[in-house]
Amino acid sequence: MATYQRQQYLLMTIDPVHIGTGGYRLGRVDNSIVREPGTRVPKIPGTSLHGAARSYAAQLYETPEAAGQSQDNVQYPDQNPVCYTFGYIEKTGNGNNVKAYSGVVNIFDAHVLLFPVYSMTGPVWVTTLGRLREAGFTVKHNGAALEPQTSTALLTWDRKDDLNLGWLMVNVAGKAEVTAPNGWQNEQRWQAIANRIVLVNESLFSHVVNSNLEVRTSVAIDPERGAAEEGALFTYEALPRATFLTTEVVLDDYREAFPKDKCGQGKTDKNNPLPGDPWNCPLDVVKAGLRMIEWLGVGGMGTRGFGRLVIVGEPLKQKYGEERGNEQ
Amino acid sequence: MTWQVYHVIVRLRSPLHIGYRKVGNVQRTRPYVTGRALWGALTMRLTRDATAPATGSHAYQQIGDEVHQQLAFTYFYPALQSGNDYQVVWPWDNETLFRPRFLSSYQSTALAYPQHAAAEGMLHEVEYISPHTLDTGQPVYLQGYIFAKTDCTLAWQSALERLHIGGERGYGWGATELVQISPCEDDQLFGGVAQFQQSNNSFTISLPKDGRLLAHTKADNAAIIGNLEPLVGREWRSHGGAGQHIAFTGVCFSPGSVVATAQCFTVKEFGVWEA
Repeated sequence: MATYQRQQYLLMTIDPVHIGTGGYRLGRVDNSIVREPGTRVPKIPGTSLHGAARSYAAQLYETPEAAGQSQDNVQYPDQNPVCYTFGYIEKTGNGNNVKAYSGVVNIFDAHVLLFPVYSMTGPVWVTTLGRLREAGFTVKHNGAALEPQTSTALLTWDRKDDLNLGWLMVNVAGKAEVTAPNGWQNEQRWQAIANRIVLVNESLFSHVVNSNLEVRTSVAIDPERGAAEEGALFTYEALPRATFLTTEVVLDDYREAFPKDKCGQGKTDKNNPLPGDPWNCPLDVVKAGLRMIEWLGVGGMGTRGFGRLVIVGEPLKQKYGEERGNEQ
Repeated sequence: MTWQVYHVIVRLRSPLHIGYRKVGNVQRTRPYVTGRALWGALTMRLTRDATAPATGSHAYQQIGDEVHQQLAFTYFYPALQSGNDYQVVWPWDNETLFRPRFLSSYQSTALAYPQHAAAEGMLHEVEYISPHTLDTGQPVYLQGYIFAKTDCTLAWQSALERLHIGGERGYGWGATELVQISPCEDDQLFGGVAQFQQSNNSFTISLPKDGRLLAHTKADNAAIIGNLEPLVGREWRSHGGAGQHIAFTGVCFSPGSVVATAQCFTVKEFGVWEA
């Protein structure tokens, strides 16, 4: 049986992240971000993560030519872990014979799990029961899990008074206990917010998120006058810093021919030491690429300090027919 | 030899793109899962489950033939939960309501990461069936029927637990979650919209007068009102690369076409009907 595995990542934005929809004016902003249809909750599309992970993995492996649309300049694409992982097109016979190899990983959209919102008690992280469960978290309220009513919220700390989530006031229905999956429990970033979580009804979540996105206004400056240029004012939105997201990666390694001879030793294509851990399978390539997003970012406005995401802990790994567990 | 009919519900976990046609830089999706797309997805999963490494075209061809021989299926249609049951929303019932509820598109471009800018000429838009309705955010399911020979040797039920259908799968599209497989106790399909009868080697599906075709249908002499289209697909063959073989099934009436009189159809390969 070909290797079939799922990995689940917990990510946190350490900059505002702007994945644009293409510059439409929608409501209050000029440059809006991608949202999940139906729920209207912003997300990071799998396409963005896939492209960034491929590009950064190719740079780490010192074959940047393996990143683009064409792999014509990759000398041995079948021996290149980036091409193997994400797919490639091989041309032989002066370009007359074209063979396309599909990649062996699927990278899914990253969905918002915990969204930071300003409240009268300081920052809190808003989420829903469904989102937590989907991501492998367990939620208990008086011994049993409970979906809050539309106007109420459950908190992970003691409080009886009403609480504001931005401009919205909700009744506090009680205290909930949220436990992260093994392997994420001891992560500093999780522990820092574990007692600042607010669970709301799914129907309220979209309103809370969309009302508290980071919206910035910028204008081009006329260098001669040192003043704003006429008509150059624009607004754009972004997922704010400290938003937690989850995403999945599926490995369907039907070829089972990952070029281990060259990569398991931790060398790049130019025989230099490979930064980070050695790559023993396509999931290592994806992880190495995704880790670089912590340095180089994903999406737009990268040169203005947008786009960095950090992987929190190690991804959860699940083989088909086995229980989900931590990778380590 | 007899067949068992199963009612299958899967939940859509990510956008689904079933290749249709291209308009400008927009790749349109069909509003349902064709038999060919389902056959391809099942064949891929079953071959990879049976052989490792699954790189030989011959293995795919062999399993693909076995799927044809041991399984048959209807097209799968978007459905919504209705109490404890599921209700298909037919794309043709009210197209102006269906499209804004179920279909959306994603516009993107490849980035040149060293420059952090859009790569030239890479802007494209892909249409998809949304995993949630766009108006009320309800989960979207796919409902259809699978006919399996009683001595079927294919582990298709296990394959349905890891089924990825359609295009853009590398970006996580086409993920499904199996919700239920239940044997049919009567001869009704889709709540009585059609009835099936089985013979030794094939199925016939009967529609009442003014009934709608639920699959592409080859009907040279039948009285049918609807759109005709050449049913063309792309396949991977040992000679050539991905999608380079053009598989031509024939000129068919599209799903949703109306039969003028009560009519019986035989279910053929890829779920295509024949009068």
